[in-house]
Amino acid sequence: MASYERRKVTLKSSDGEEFLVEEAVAMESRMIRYMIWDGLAGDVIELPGVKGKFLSMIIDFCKKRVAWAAGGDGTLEGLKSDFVKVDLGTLIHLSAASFCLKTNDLVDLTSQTLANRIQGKTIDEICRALNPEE
Amino acid sequence: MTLSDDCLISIFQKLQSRHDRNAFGLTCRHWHHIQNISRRSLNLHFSYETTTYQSYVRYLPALLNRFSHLSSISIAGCTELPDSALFGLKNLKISLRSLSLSCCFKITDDGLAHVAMHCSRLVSLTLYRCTITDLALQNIANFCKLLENLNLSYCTDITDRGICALSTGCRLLHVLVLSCCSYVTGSGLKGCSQTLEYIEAECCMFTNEGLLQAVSGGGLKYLNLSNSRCSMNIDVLAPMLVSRLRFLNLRLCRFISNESVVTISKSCPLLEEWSVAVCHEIGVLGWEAIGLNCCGLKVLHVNRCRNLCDRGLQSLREGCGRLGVLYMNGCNGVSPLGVELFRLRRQDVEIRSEELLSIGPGIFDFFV
Repeated sequence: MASYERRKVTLKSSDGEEFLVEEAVAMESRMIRYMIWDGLAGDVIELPGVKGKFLSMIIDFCKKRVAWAAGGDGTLEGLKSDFVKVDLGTLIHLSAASFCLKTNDLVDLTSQTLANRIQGKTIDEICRALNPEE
Repeated sequence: MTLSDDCLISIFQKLQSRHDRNAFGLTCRHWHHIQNISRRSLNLHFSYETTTYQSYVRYLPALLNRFSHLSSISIAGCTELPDSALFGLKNLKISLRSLSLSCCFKITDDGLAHVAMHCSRLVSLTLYRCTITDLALQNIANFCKLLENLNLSYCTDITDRGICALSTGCRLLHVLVLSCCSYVTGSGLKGCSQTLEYIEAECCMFTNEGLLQAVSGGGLKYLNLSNSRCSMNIDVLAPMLVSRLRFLNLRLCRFISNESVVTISKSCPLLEEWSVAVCHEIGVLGWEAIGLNCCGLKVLHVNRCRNLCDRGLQSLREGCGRLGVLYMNGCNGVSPLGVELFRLRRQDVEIRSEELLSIGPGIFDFFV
């Protein structure tokens, strides 16, 4: 099998943090994928909607997902459930970031997890948990 | 941290129970708005309480304003609903795909004109027992170019002129229900598109000419001419144009002759289900033709056929290799011995005694 140089791209978060990742990992995000395909991406892709802390968690998931798809250990379900083992505040930020980046699995996963947290609660409990008016 | 609208919609759609959805909507005004724009259908059902209909009339404009992304609306039994109540549909011009108005007697051509002009993306439209005329059909034909399913049953004021407008204007028409439209002869179907696959014309006045035009599109799969109020001569059916026919309902067409049956049996190789219940004119020649030619027939209805005798039943028994069900009762010309012979020799065929009014696929499933 011929080897080829795996292209890398830098993702820059809203608070200036930079992450060097393989193109295959970055393309888990549909937004970044279309930017690359349309030739609109330079070496550094700026993501003003996502903070560094959450971008790193998402990049981490994408790396593991790509590795799993290539025949690695573990299950996708396991990866997903690990990803959402966070507190509610972080989950909300991750959800917003997933929507921004349009990472398919994460959009569904975070929405479903948040829906699960709302299930069966009273209006007050939902307000306290998710603070809709903030 | 505020979640984007897309995010909130995605979360809302994953809430399964009514309680959760209502709780979501009651947290704050913005989330209430998300709940409103997520609603896709509005069903105002028939009710035994007459006061219900008064509240339909009163609240419909507000409901149409609140739920701005409805794709399906159904209003049934609201006989006092005025044309003005439909003006709110203007807001739904992008999203509305399906509209059903059953027994809304006060809706006139004006109301329908408004609907047609503003809801040009309609795919399904039901106007059961509405007092509309050809003018409404003309407007629908002019504006609703994406219309596929149209139910005009009991719209007794429409004529072939209106149907003609539909045939010309709605080129994606797929299912057309004309049951009990007493003045429709079928000639208006001239030049109808090949996409027209299902025609319900129970209790209509289809003439020979009308029948020719009905099949002129060449795509017809299902035809219901039961209880026809006019005698037709089916010999005129050009064989090529009915070659795709799979379901044919001629129940209570008492005048259907042997010649017609022979023609149909030879021209429709794909015929799967055929009802000739109460077709008294069919004799031995007709039954022989069915037995010989209808190789793909799976279901046959011969209830109450006066001229089905043992000889005819034998022809069916010895032919129709794919027959799975035979609906037969009240055929006095058939002896118990004849039936027993059939049962013995054709154990692959189930004999049932019910007389079914309708056959084939559920037409109204298309209107969902």
